[in-house]
Amino acid sequence: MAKLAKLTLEKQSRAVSAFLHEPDWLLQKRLEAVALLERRRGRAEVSGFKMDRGSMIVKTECEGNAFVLPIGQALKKGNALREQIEKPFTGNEPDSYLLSFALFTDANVVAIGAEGRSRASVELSGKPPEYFATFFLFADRSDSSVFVEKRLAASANECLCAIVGNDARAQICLLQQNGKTSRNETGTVASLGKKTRLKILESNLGGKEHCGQTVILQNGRGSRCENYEICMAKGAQKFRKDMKHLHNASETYSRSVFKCASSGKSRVNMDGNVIVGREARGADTHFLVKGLLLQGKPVLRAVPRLSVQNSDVAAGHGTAIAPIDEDELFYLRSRGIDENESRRLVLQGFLTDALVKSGMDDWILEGVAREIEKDARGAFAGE
Amino acid sequence: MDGKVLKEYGRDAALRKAPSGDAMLNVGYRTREHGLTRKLVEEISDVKNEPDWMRAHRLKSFAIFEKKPLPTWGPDLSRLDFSAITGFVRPKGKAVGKEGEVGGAQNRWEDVPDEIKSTFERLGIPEAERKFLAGAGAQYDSEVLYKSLRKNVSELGVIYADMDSAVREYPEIVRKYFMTKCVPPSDNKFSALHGAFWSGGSFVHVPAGVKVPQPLQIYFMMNYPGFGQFEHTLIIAEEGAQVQYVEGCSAPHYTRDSMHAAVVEIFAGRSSRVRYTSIQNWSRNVYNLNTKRAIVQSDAVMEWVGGTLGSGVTMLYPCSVLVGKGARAEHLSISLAGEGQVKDTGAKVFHMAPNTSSKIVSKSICRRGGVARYRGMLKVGAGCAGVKSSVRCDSIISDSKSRAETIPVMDVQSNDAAIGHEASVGRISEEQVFYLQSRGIDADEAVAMIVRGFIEPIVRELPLEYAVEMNRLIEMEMEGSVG
Repeated sequence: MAKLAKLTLEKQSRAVSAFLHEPDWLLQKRLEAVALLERRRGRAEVSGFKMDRGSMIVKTECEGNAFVLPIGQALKKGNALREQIEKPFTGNEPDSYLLSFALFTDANVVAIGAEGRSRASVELSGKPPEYFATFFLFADRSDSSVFVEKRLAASANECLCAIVGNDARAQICLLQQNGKTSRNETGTVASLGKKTRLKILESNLGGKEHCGQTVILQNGRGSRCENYEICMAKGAQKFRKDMKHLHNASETYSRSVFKCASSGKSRVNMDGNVIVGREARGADTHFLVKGLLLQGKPVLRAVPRLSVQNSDVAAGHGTAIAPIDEDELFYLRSRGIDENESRRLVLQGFLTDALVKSGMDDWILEGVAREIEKDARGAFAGE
Repeated sequence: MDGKVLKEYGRDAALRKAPSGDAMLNVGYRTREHGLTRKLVEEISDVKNEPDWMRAHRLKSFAIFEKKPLPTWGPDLSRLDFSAITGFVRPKGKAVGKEGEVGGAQNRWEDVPDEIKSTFERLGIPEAERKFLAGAGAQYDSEVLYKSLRKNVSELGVIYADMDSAVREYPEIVRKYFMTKCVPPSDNKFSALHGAFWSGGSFVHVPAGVKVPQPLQIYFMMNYPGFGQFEHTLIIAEEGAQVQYVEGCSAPHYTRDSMHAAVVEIFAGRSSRVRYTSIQNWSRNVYNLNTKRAIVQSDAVMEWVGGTLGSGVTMLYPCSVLVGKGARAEHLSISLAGEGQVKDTGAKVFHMAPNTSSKIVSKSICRRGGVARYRGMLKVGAGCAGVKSSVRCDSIISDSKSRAETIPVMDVQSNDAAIGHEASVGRISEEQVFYLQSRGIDADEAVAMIVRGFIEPIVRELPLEYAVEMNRLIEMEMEGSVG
């Protein structure tokens, strides 16, 4: 393991690339990320960066035409990954994505082929490197579901890139149940091709602090995206989500739902921005934020922005933040269920409702529901 | 007030060259130099023969103004040139007392100079007063020229004065409330600017338990080209008092940009009820950058009703700070953004006490490249239980050159608050128009009906005269909007 001294981001990026013996085109791509980041934030030095590959354990199960490979192997398999990664950045990539892209020392690729129905399950555990990357490639006309569980023992920064081909149907579920002391930052970019149907379900349950910056680009005409985010913030947990959803093509459709249950001294910050561009005629978008306030002194901040730049749209957003409904509690208690159990059931119902509405595959939903139930049991413990 | 006058003095006015010469512009006195400088601050204070504390307040505000940067989070203000603004113009006909001290506003309409009187008469000021107002005022450029209050209302102990007179006549009250607790100069760059250059405006004091039976109204007119109007409104409603205050604004459309940076401070005492209504119809070369705020005590009700029709760039976010248990706020607004207009408007409500409630309804219409942005802030303080709030913001966007945005911030720091927010953006659909046409209504009338329905929740809260004009203006603006 090499601990780099205080260096500019560019030098560190070059050092990482040399350390991993990467091809020159990948180094050039890292440097493009550095240049874009520095244009936004100015030239910066990064200190204390530990350049190692960590000891992350990756368990996978694949069915059909799905493959999960370390980036080195994926590059050897063909040009598909290189073709996608080499495409120029759009300028919409979040800062955390660019930083992790410039410095990642470990990366995995989830590739889905075109034929048949595929599914992949990935579990990441152990000690991750400081920066790592995950690439999802969904081929044109592919049909798949991918479940990624993160149970990381240490803090990490991740760049997550999902490229969904034309006419593809994809489901991505990200379950974050990291260790109690971990602080994680994830920069995500999802790019949708023509007539793509993408469902994303992100559940943030564990960790001490989690910051997610997500950009969804609907550049393909007629693409549809449903994005569900579930978050249970308790104790002193901090969650921050910045979501930017861009409709850049006509007849695009999106639904975003963010559900958060807050208790203790937790802090949740949800900043969403749906932008319907001039070209996105016939776009249909709705963004919903729901917050459930539990016991303690939680802080919940929601900023659901909407920007519409053409007249042929149906766009809306809604927010509802409230404590547990007394009528619901009364209903449960009148059936002999004690108060804590009643509260837990309401909480569980509040969060799992999003799972049901997402309509994702049962094998994914069962896994997430199990984790929510486990966490909900802990939410009222000690009252 | 007829449509022709609104077109001449409002946002639809044709760009015209200002008449040359102060006499043509009804100027009684004006500062010789352009620009918002410390020298002008002192000049204004000298001309008004102000007490030392107000002079010190102005200078302190100016120092803050110089230090604070322009806000970068909103519309583009880079073309706003403070050095080109004429910061003080006293209208012809303002009474001057002994030792150069300026008297208060005229309280007889006959004493207002004929040229100015005819302008206000065309805008319907005296007519409105006769018909349905408890008191009326008219400000022309920097100072209030006319102010009157019905005898039966003044006998109740209600004070309705121009702000300059209030500084002299009610120094203790003004000193206690003027830019201290509600909108201090340090609040933002434009409140600091206002603190330094303020002139004119209204002072309303309603004693405990008094209910003012009819609205009080003031009309603001900006006539001088490249002018900065900084009127200050201070409304104090004591415990159990009720008052409704209405403001209207107009300016002719000259080639030089003007600015308007008003401050409105409202103190709603326990169990009081205050309604503040403002219809802004400045011409399109006016930067309209106001700070309006109310501090609302226990069980009091604060209502803001606003129509932002004119001006080029508007930044306006009326704010209610609910500090007393059971206090309530309602914010209703309409914003119309046409060619070259940026309307960055919204509402702020701070729930800082238990069982407080608020309702925000914002409607905007944008077309011909206009930008309508709703920017809201809703905060529930720690430990404030039983808070309820609902926010509704809707926009009609009628072409692909225009832009509609909503930026609502909800910051909840209590575990017992029920917050609801809904927003929608869309156009007037051909299906809706077709439905009405199939029932024998022509296309223009169908659009007008749909728009009337869209803005109805706000218009129904306006005084009748304003409601009629608002409907007429919006209908004119929406002609040819089908599809």
